[in-house]
Amino acid sequence: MKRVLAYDQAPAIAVPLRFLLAAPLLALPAAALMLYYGPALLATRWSAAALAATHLITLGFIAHSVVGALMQFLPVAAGADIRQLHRTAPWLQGLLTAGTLLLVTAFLLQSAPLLKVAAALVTLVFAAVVILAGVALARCAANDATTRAVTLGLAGLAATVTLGCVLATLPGWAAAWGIAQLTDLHAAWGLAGWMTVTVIGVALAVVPMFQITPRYPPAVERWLAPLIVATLAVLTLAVTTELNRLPGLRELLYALLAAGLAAFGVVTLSLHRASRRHADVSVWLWRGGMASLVAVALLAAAAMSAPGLAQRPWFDLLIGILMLAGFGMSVINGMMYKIVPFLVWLHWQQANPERHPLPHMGQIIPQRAMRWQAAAHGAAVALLIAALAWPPAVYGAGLAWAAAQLLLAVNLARAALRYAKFKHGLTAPA
Amino acid sequence: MSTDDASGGRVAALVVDARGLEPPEPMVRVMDALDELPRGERLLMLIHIEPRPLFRVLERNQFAYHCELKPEGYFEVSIWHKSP
Repeated sequence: MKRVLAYDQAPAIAVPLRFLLAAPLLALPAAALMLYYGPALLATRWSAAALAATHLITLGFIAHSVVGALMQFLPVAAGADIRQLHRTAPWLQGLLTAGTLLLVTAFLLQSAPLLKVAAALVTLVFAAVVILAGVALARCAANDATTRAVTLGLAGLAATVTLGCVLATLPGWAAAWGIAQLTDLHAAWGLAGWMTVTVIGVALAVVPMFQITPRYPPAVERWLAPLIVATLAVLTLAVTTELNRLPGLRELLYALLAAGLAAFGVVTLSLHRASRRHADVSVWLWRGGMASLVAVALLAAAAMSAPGLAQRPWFDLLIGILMLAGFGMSVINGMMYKIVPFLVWLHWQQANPERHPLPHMGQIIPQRAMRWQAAAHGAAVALLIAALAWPPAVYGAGLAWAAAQLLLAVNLARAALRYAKFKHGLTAPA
Repeated sequence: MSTDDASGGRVAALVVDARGLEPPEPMVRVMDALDELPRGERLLMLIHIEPRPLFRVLERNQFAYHCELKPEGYFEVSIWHKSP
């Protein structure tokens, strides 16, 4: 029987792959920042270099990965018709990459005009993603926890970008609300409202599927993502309106957020324990990510009970390292090692209606190659955290970071080349 | 979720137990088994997660299906040829 394994609106493999391949290449310059600036990079979260490194991770690695993954995930898992997004993918990826690099340059040169241009470019790309994906999700028949969480994640992205735009282009408005407060709100929406909520949405489907665990508990499926976004919405009101005067309200809302993150981390770790499968590299990366989330929650709890702790200069930096590198990059890295081989296999199948024997999925990215890369990533995260107490460790972190991103880029590129080579063999005239 | 009524009581001609298998193994086993499925008969797939990506593949290959979550926590998917 000739099989049609194509999904109705699933994209060509190049559509998601172009974003996923760009991600580690854009995170790589953060290593250069660590090696060049050394301990000065971690002196304060407000330094030009720290802001540049942060946005290499958030826009370069995380945003490219998430947008690329959504290009595949939305039609396959939710049946959403995002062919318009697929058609504009080369433009979107090009503009997002350009916007990311411009923004990072703007921070390093401390150039307000360049910051405005970069912010406009990045806003344009995300507006296209939010509108096209949002409309497609609103129209699709699926109304499950995954689809709802991913939709909420898009709302989180819209809020993050709006706040970022205000900070970059409307300094008067930003100053009226307080630059520090608004930046914290931008970070909270970005880290929790967009990144974590999107990860939750994707995890509800792919953790049981790819990591062979039981399903998430119904209460987590139904309530966690909406509660996180609702808390952020109230926090936004608390920062920007008269509610600002209520003592303790902001602290309470941040504590609620932290509790939500901890809940996701603890539940996912318990699902892993319930799985009968031997843990592979992807699972270990996810375990590291969940441990980072729990650590963030513990830090938040400690800050509530120890006055002055949150004002220490290393506190915000530690939260940032744990959320971005410890959690965000780890879970995305882990999921790439499941999604990319599966994508390659799927597209081979589509090019193979005559059913010639195909290479095993484990040969697409060998486990040994994944292990080396994951070890480099783990070392980079550990050394970055250590650098907060012993600053010279940042140089080791830079080297480990470079190795981790280079190895990830090589692993993904090898998978892409293997796909192209084998497909050429399948479809070449006899 | 289904494309048709389950019309219960019929014993499946083929059973694919894909519980605990990682993608694409469940899909490969089901598609291989469907090659052997006589028209008018049903294939029963047992799987630990709702296989939504598989449903679209089944529709494109002219199969109907009915999916049910069992009390034990796994999904039971009945699959049969659309046209008799």
